[in-house]
Amino acid sequence: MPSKSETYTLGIAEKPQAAKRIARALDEKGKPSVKRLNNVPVYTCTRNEKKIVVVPAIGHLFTLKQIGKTWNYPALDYEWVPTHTVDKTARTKNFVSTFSSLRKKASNVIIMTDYDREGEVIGYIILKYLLKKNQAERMKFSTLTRWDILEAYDNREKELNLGFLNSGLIRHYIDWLYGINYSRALSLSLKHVAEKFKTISIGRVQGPTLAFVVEKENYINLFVPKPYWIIDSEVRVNKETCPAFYEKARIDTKKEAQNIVKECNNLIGAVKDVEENQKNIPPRPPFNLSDLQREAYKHFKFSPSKTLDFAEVLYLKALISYPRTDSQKLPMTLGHKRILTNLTKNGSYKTYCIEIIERKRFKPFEGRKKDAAHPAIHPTGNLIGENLSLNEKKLYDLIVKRYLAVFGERAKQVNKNIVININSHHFEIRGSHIVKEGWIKYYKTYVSYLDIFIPDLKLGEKIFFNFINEKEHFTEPTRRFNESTLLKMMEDEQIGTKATRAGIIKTLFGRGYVVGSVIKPTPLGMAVIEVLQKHYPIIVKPDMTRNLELLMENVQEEKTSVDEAILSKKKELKDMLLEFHKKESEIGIALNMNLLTSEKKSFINLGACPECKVGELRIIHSKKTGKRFIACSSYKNSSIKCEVTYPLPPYGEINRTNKICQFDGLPLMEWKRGRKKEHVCIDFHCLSRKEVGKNGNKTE
Amino acid sequence: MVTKQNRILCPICKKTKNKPKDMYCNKHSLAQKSLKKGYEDWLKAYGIMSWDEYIKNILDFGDLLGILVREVVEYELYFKLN
Ligand SMILES: [Zn+2]
Repeated sequence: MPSKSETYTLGIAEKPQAAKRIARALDEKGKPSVKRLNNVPVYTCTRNEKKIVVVPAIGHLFTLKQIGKTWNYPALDYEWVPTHTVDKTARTKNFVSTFSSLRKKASNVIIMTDYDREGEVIGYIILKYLLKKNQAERMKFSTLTRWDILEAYDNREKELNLGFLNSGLIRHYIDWLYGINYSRALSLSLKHVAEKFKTISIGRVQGPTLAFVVEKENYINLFVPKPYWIIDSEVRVNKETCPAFYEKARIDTKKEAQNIVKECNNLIGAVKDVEENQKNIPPRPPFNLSDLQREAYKHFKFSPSKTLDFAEVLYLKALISYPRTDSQKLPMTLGHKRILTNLTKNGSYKTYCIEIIERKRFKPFEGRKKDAAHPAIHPTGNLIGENLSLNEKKLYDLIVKRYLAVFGERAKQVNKNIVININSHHFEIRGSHIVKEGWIKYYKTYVSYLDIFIPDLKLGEKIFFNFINEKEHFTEPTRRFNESTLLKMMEDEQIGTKATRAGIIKTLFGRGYVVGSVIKPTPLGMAVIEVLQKHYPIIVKPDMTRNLELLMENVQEEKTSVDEAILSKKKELKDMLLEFHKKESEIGIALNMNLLTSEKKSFINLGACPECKVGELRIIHSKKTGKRFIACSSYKNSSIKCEVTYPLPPYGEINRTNKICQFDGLPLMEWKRGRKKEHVCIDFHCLSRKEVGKNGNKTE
Repeated sequence: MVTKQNRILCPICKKTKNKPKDMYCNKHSLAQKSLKKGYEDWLKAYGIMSWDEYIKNILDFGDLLGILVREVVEYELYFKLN
C-alpha cells in the first residue's frame, strides 16, 4: 500500500487474475507489493518513479434496478445500484468497499479492464459511482502478456472509448427494459386470470431463440416419412471394387427405380467421360469466437459456453489472446516470428514452428471478418504450465494448431470423376487424393480429406459392375439443434452478440424451457412460445431483436446518441405493452390452459411406488443436466419425502404398461427406440433386463 | 354422447378447437392434413397402396413419425374399432 500522504494512479482491472498480471508487468522490478484490503488483493507498483495501485473488480459490481417499488408494467425508470444490495448471493460487496476506500488518494485513474463494451461499462460505472470521477485514461490490450501490457500503458488513450461505452450502456438499458417488462406482463397475465403466481421470464433474445427450437419441434411433430429409392451399385476396376453413383441421387417412385435396374441388367458399361481437376485448398481462417466454439463442439463436444469459459482461463493465464472477438485477421504487428519462436519451446509444436520459421513467410492467411478492438484468437507464445485442466489443454492445442496452419502453404487435391454409360444410364465413380499436404500437416488432428484412389481409365474402356440394385429409403425429419447449431442459427439471424449468445442458450436450459444435448423444448417452453406466437408474436420474431442490435451498433458508431435511442425505445415499448395490456386476459387464459396441459404432459406415471406405497413413479427431467430418471412423487411430500429413484436410458420413448415384472414385482415400462418396442423392468439391475440383453425383445 | 364440451374441445388433447365444426384442435388438424398428404405421397411412390397398409407401415417408424400424427392415427384407429 502507498504511504498515507502519497497520491497515486489507480488502475481498475476486470478480475483478480488480470490485476495480478498487469501489476507484475507494470512494476519495474516485476514484483509489485500486494496487500489485502477487505480480502481483495491490491497491488502497488512503481513505474517511472510513479506509484500505480492496481485494483481488481470481479466483473460487474453494479446492476440496474427499478426506481420505485410497484411490481407492475410498464417499468421504465431504472438506476445503477451495487449488485450486493439486491442479490444477497453476489460476492461483490468487498470489491465495492475496496474501491471506495481507495478513492480519496487517487490522483487519476486508468481503466485496465478487457477492451470491449462490457469492459468499458465495468470500468466506467466504478469510475462514476465509486471513485466519483467522470474521466479516466484507457489501456487497450489484446493479451495479458508483459509486452502487450507495457505497450498498452505507454500508448494509453487519454479518455474512455465512448463508442464502446455508449453501446455497452444501451445494451444494459435495453435488456433490462425488455426483460423486466415482458416477464412482468406475462407473469401478471397469468396471475390475473388464474390467481396463481409463476414467474415466466423471457428476454428479448431468448424469445426468438426459444422460438427457433419450438418451430423445429413443431415441424418434427408433424413429420410423416416418405419413401424414395436410390440405385446402389459397385464396379470392378483393376481387381479393386468401388461404389458407383447413379446420375439421380434420389428416385421418387418404385416403378422408375425398378426400370433403371432392369435396363442396366447386363452389368457392363463403358467409360464415357473422364474429368480430372486439381484444386488448391487454402488454410482455414484464424479463429474468431464463433468459429472456435463450433470447432470445439465438433471435436470435443464442448458447449459454446464451456468453450468460452476455457478460453477465458487461457486468456487470463496469458496463453492466448482475448477470445471475445469477431476478427479473422492476424496483423503483422502481432510479431508472428516472435510468437512462433517462443512456441518452439513447446516440444509438441517445435518441428512445425521451425519449419515455418525457416520458410520465412510470416504473412498469415486471413478470413474476411473484422473486429474493431481485437485480432483473431492466437497463442501468445508463453509456455503452458502444469496447472491447466485436460479440457483447457485440448482447447489450447486446437488454437495453436489452427494458428500454425494459417502459415502453411495451400494444399493440393486432385479430383477424378469417371462417367460410365450403361444403356443410356450414367453412373459416376469419384476419386480424390491429396497430392500436397501444405497447411493440412499442421492441422491434421482436426481435419480430414477423402483419399480415394482411382486408376487411369481410357474412354470407351469396358467396365464391369458387381451389382446394380434399387434400395428403398425413407425421408427423415430435420435434425434438432445442438448448442453449436443453435448458436449458428442465432448468428445467421443476427440476434445477440458473440459475447452473449452462449449465455442466452444456457439461460434457456436454466429456466427449464429446453432440455438435452440434442435440444428439445420442454412442455413449458412449448406452452410459452405457442401462446406468444398466437397472441403476441413480436416477442418471439427475430425482427425486433435484430433491429435493436442494429440500433446498438449505430450508437457504437456514434450515429445515434444513447439518450435519443433510449427515449424512442421506451416509447415503442410503452406502446407495445399497452397492446399487451388490451389482450392481457386472453393471453393469461391461453397461458394457463397451456401450462396446465404441459404440467400434465411432463409427468408420465409409470405405476405405484414400491417403497412408500403412496406416491407414483414419474419420469423427471433434470433441469441441470437434461438427463431423465424415475422418481417418486412423494419426494415433495414433507411427511414422506420418499427418495426412490431409478436411472433411465437417455434415448427412446418411455410409456406406462400397467404390467408388473415377474422377477421383482416392479412396474414394467414400454421402451420404444425407432421401430423397436419392448417391455422392460424399470430397475436396470433386474435379472429380467439381463435376459432382454441376451434374447432381444422380450414382449412385443 | 355429444355434449357441448365435446363440440368445442379437441378429442385428443382437450384443447379448444378453432371452430366447433373442426374435427380437432389446430395442431391435430395440421397433423391430420400431414397424414393425408403422406398417403398421397406413398400412393404415388408405390403405385398401389391401401390406406390401411399405409397406416400399418407408418406406425412402424417409431420416433421418426411425428408424435402429433401418431396421436391422430391412434385416435382414429381406436375410434374405428369402437
Ligand atoms: Zn388436439
